[in-house]
Amino acid sequence: MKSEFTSLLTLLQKKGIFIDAACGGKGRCGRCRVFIGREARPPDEIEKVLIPCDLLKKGYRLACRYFSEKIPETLIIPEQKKKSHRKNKHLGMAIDIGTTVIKGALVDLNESRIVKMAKVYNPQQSFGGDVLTRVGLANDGKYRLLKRVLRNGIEDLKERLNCSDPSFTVIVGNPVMLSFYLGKPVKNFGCYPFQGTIKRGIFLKKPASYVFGCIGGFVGGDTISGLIASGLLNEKKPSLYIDLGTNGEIALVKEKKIYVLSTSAGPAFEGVGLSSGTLAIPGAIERVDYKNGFKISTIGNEKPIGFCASGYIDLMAVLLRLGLLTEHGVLKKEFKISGFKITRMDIRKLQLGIGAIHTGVKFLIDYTGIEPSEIKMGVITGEFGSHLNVDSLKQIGMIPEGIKNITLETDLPLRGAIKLLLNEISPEEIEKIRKKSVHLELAMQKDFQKRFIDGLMLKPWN
Amino acid sequence: MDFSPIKKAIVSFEEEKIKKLIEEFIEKGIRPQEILEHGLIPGMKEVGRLFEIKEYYVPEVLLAAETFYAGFNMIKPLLIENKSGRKGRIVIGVVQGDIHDIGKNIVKVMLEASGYDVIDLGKDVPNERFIEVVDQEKPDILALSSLMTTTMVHMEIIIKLLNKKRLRKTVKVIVGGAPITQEYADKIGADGYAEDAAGATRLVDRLLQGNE
Repeated sequence: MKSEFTSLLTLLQKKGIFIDAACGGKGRCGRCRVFIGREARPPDEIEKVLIPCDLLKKGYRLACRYFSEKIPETLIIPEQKKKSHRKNKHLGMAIDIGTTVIKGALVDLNESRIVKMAKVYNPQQSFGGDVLTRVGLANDGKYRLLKRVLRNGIEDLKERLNCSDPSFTVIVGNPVMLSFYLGKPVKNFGCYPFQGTIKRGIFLKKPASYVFGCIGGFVGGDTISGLIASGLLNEKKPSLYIDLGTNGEIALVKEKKIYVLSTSAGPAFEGVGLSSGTLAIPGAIERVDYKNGFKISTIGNEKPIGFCASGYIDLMAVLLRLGLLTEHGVLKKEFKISGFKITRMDIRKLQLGIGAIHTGVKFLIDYTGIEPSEIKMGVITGEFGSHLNVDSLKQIGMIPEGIKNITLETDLPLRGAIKLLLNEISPEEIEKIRKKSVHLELAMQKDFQKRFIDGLMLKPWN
Repeated sequence: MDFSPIKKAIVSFEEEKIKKLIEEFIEKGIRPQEILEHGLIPGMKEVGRLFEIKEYYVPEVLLAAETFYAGFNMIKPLLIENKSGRKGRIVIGVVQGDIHDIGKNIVKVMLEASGYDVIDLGKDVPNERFIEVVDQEKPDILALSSLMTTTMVHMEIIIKLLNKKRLRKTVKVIVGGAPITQEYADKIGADGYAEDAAGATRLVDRLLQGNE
């Protein structure tokens, strides 16, 4: 339908009548408001967000969202205030609320360009590193506090982006974070079957925003937006998406269906609970190689402060190669590198996380009845995922052998949110993606334990 | 009779081999009870020792457990008549809302390998189900596992329910799992807590010795 019609904004422009649309006609700023009257077709979701209720009822609509053959005779273009008290009408914001880090991008809607990016630690972290601890605290009466703290973190992010009132905001995140953000209950995330109350995407009027919907369990809007940004949804052949963070979300795209699950990779990937572990921050050892002795390199080439996940995984690959680590995960002897202790228990904790990811990927491959080699494209993103070394991943067998074209990408969930902000994808399309996603609970599969044992083996690719 | 090949098969996770060995032993007329006591149990005990000195960890214990069960399940039907030889009865399960059962499975195999009869209720077990089974089976020990701070609250509820049904004095309750501490066990009125599977076996030994 829409394609036969043209937006009022374009029709008016053709006639030489220019309406100031700060976002470039993307339906994000609400500046191109026009009066159509009682004849107006019902408002769409975006118009409901960007036009005050009383004006909607009177028959105001957005010229950029109103598609028509010709300009309605009743049309009145309200006089636009030259100097709006809101100077940020052309700016939109995308936010990815992660369990550990909240990331944001300030976007010039008119020029379709990222103005600034920033990230802050999720201040809820001080209440516990993993989502379940926070759910537990929320159940114990700290819900409001956790919600407020999260809001503060987002305000802090906005400050760093130098913009407190973007005209439109798009928010993604895991289901628990989105529930806290929206003030929805988190209680049910505490016990199987871990189902929250957010299903479809949600429009908010104040502030004007769109919050991505959730797939199920711990797989949320961040996975949907990440998948969108990954480009995998356009692939004809099966493809794999992994978001490697505190939780690992895994999606296998096959014949227009999306199979998703989450695995708790544990805090080891954040360096927590390891004798020489650290987050991926300046000074963290991120690369390890062996040529007549261990060679290390740190983030920012600073003085080493410990190992981050990518450094540990490189190290495990080297140790396997040297025969100092067995496929079962037995470290033959404990030692130090550049003064940092490597213990058997460190390797074991990492092994559990690696095993969880392998088990999840392998299960989806088997569930969909394909061979690993049929996966023609694998994308890994996430706070830790995007720092890893693909060769090392293969050498420790973190993903099943045979998967082709593995690439690392940064910030895919945030980039997916930006796509919606720039009207490159519609909320309807996002709903379609959400609806064709099937959530699976890994731990409830009959042969889970057998699969997990297999997944724990550190088997190098041939 | 040399039982060491059975022991060795468990320690090195040789599932096919253990099946063959047990077949041979049974054919030779060796009593299942002896195969269990001198072969399977020492094998799993060695695995427990290796676990304690951090040589073995989750993957090895799980693999060894599979090997142990491959053998144990072959002789189990033959053992039933001889139940009196077992050391005690334990009901074990993961509390309601929790589906993480690998830790529980490791504790279970260690207890079975130590000569206890274990009734495994599985994972996501409703609170009432534990009460029902304690009432029916009259076990010596009720072992509860939880891997999440959000589900460990059920342990306290189960103990309260046992009190209410006047069953608390008939059974010792032990608790374990990642978020559980001795402090928590004391707070909810459990009889014991152990950090890992080896500790759980020692705890049960201690609790039941005190009973006799």
